[in-house]
Amino acid sequence: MIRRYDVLHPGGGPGEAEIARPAEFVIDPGGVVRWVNLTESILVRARPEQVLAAVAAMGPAMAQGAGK
Amino acid sequence: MKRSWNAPIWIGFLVLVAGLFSYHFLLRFPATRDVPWVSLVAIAVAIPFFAVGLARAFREPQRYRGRIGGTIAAVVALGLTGFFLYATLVGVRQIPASKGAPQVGSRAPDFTLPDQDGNPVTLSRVISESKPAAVVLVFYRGFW
Repeated sequence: MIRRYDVLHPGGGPGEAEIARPAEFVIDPGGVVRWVNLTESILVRARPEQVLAAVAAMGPAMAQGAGK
Repeated sequence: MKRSWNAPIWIGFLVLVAGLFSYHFLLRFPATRDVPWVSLVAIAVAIPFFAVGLARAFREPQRYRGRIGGTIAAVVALGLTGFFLYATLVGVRQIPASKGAPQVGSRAPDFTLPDQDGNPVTLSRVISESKPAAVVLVFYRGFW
């Protein structure tokens, strides 16, 4: 699953373990990705307000996205 | 004449160490985590203390202590600061480019993962059955 989204961070975990890099996606009801946050720093993650804003922003175009 | 205690060196050292270790606790809050500004302020405050303390230890060694102890403290402080700055400003950015990650407008790859009760959850089924307004997918690690 992590590989399918290409968000693997080899050696990023304790003891050089493979873990996911921090990443956030918003997917619309049509299964289409509408917002992506691939942070440049593991310290900086998407905040809840940003994700909610992304969901709110896709509201008007949602019918279009769902129809694809 | 008894040489006096060279307080600025040790005040600077305490401020610096406290400032760097405070980040361990401030990591919990986004406002103090994204940029380790509390520690950066502590570094900036500690520098003049070290400068004053070391300057008088070397200029007036007959009055002030701290030539040896102060130098050791300064070297330790520099090492800690260098390690801290590298870890929080450079090391945390060494993550892969993820060029193959789904982009805006592309179809989200389907997946099945266990939920909190161990039951499999499939993205395409969640979308077709629950008809959510949106699906938020979060890849996270660590405790935040």
